[in-house]
Amino acid sequence: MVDFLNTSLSGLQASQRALATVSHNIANAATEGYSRQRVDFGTRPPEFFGGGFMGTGVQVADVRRIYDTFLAGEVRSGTAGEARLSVFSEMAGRVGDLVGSGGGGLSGGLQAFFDSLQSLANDPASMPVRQTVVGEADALARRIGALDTQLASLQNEVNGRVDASVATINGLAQAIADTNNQIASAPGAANGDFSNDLLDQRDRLLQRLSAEVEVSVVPAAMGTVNVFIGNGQTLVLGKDATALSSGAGGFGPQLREVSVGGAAVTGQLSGGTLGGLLDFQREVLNPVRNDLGRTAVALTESFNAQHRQGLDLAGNFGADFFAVGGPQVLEASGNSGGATVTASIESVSALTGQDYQLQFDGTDYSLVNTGSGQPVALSGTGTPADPLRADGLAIVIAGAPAAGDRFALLPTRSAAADFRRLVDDPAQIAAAFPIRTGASLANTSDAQISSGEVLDAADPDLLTPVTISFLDPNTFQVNGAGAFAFTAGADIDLNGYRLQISGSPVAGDEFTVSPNSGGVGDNRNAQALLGLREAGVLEGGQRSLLQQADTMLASIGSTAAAAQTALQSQSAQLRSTESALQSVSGVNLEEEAANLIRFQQAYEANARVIQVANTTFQSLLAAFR
Amino acid sequence: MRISTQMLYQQGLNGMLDQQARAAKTFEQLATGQRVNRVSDDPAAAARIQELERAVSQQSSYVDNIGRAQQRLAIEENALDAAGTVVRRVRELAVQASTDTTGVEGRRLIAVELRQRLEELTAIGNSQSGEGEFIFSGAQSKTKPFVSDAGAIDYVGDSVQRELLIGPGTTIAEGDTGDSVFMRIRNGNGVVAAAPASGNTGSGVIRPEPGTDTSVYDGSAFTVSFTDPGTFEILDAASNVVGGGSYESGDRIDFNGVRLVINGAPEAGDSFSVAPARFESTFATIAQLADALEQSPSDDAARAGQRQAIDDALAQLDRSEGRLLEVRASVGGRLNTLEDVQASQESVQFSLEKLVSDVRDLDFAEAVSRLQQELFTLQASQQAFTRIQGNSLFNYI
Repeated sequence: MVDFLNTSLSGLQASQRALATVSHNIANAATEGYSRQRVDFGTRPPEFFGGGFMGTGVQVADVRRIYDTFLAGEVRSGTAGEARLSVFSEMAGRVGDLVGSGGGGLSGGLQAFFDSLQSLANDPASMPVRQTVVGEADALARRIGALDTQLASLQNEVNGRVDASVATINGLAQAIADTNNQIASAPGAANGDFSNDLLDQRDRLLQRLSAEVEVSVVPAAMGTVNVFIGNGQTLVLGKDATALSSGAGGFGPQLREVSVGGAAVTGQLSGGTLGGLLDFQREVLNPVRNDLGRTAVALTESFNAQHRQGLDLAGNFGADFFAVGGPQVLEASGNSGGATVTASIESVSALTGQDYQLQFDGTDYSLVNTGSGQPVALSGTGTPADPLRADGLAIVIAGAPAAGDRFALLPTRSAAADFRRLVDDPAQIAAAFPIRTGASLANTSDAQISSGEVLDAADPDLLTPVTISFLDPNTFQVNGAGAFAFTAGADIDLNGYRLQISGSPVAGDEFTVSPNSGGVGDNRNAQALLGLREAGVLEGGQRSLLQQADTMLASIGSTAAAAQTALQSQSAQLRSTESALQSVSGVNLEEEAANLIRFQQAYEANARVIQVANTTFQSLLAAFR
Repeated sequence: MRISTQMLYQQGLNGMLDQQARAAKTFEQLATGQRVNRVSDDPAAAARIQELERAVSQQSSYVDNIGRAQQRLAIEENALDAAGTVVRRVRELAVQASTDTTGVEGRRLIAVELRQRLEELTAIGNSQSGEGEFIFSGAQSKTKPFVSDAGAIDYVGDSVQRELLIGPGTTIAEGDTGDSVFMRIRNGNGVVAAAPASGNTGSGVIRPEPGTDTSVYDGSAFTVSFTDPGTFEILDAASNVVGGGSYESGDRIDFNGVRLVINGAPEAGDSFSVAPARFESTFATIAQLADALEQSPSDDAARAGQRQAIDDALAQLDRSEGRLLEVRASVGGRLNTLEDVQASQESVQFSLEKLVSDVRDLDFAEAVSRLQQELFTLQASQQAFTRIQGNSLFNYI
């Protein structure tokens, strides 16, 4: 006979379990990553009696975790994307604010310097004005140096944060491996019953791991999961975790790498804080430092070249005005040959702002643009007389490399750090044109001589005084020698300069070209220096220094803005995925309150049935009494 | 859709945080008065603002340069004006000296004043700008351009004119050099100059008339030589006779495109040389006139020499004054150009500044109403949050 006391007892127990689960849900309502649990009831096996089957009560079939694997995966990848964009847009914004700030920005510094040259062109003889030029040159050098220092400290910050992230990843990977172990070794695992709370805990860990780096999670035997990063490098395999490491790469401590199991994976990691930091370093920080250096190199080269053409207050040729750092060459630690590679900048306008890798295959050299991964055509042989040439660089190889030797070339990475002013004495600013021309006051004709242009400032005879005297209207002598045919207005090239004589000179007319000594009021070289503001010195002559500053700002700005916009949409998307997951897994207290009432009532009803069973039993006993 | 309690809470909270962030941004804009406070606020606008601000600064440096050029040209104009006054006074003195009523003593007194005027003119030539630069010395602006050398005034400056940038690719000369103002003035009639030989005994005085036909004149020198007081012949540079004729005082002699007038009574053997005009400085003109007036002529020949000197000086002073007027006209022209350019550059500057302001600055009315709206929404979400969070079934069991 079916014992309805037992039946109601099963109901009592089932309600109790349900109430326990409800209270577990309520208790964990605010627990992050908690998935609500539900008790599934099932009927106990019926008993056959002559006329049919009789129900025997209820049993707890399962305590189920309400969960959606697909949505959880979406949330993980959304978290990785959001974390990446968050750190990327924050850092890119900081770089933009550095480069673009009115007070400390590159554009403002260049403008102030050129403004001081404008004053010099107005007042070339004035010492206070010359002092201003020296001061502004210093201010510009400090500004560029400060920018580079700030960028370098951002690099240090990136390094520190990468280290921290790697440590976090390692900790989480180990915790996931441990949890895998716990899940697999818990009783019931063999039957496919896993602890809901351990599964939740592992999902929480995976979620936190996703905030550091994008992972792919693959379910494996006994409830465990395997976790892979990058292009499939194993991070967690069952009960074992592999450690990531960060630090000096194959080219030394300056080019750091993140590696797993000894293999560098820096370029393959994506998503999460770590991916964001690495992307920021690759896409923003390095290009900006290179471009800042490139701007400093362009300013130095063009300004020095023009400055060397002019004369200072003492009548001496201008010296180099600025100094700047040269290209860096880093040797791979595994190189077996004895070659030393040096690089120099041959053409500023051909520089790209990219980094390169030079490789020797035993017979030939090849150059790869590190940013794009594309090969770059090389010409030359690498000897000092015929260096390897590419993208404005000249590369000289001394010694014998071995096949497979690699070198990293950073053409302008450290240029800005070493950018400084060289000319100390304001009187040594070369504002004057090196020569001046004149027609003799004893001339008969009104023929005029042009002021001339310098073709070769290095010509040793540039400052040799020259008298052009006419033997007849069509012939002239230079310093009393020779007989040169004269055409009015035609170019006359002498001693590194070019000039023209116009009009109709007659026999006996003399024109002089003399060094511009005492020409303290001459502003022609100052004007030429000022003209460098508009001169296309970069990108094959298409871009001026100030345009370069603008372009840098615009490109950082648009990168930061794109990251910001992407972050907003990614956040919105993540929120909606999280909502969807929460909608499935989250605890609703109203629901739990209702369940509480429901199961309390069920419990009370079952208790009541027990009471009835008792009464029934008592009635039966009383019948025998 | 099923909603979890945590989600309900988080959504309400996120909404409030977002609105708070938006209000904070508007508040920052109001505090600075700028729409774009960081590059990351609006990168496209930030790059544009940087470009525009630089254009404004460039434009203002053009305007500054224009002001400076105006200042320097005004200083030059004053100097030219003063020089003109001196040259006109010297010309008056020369006219006075040329009249027969002025005796030897009178001419000597005139010569004394001429020497003073010469010094005055030299001082004007050595004028300095406010910055202590000599305005007429070209590139050698710290070198005194006009120096006295054995009685003569030499120019030791050069012919380099300083140009200032007054617009994109546009420059203007902010001065003139002393050689063009005072030194390069042709003597004679500007094409040819004539002079009596030093040993002339007669009273002949020669003057090249204006209007030398330069298409005929070949630039060669020749000599008019008197064989007797009524006959002359013309000799070329190699002393070949190439022309001649009879002479009466005041006759015009036309030769080789050159028109010459000889007044007075030349003696046989007197000669006059004619050569292409040379440069003579205003200083030399005045000095030579003073030299001549200091003489006490005792015979006809000496008197003719003095007369020739006064005539030459009068012609030359006209040309010196003419040159000063030419330079002043050119300075005036440049000042007019500067004024025009200034007006246009200033208007460009104004419109650039307006453009910067449009891109960078905040529309306060819009921002204030936006802030109000944001604060209102924030308040509404706060109220909604507390209301929703206050409702729970647990309140009833």
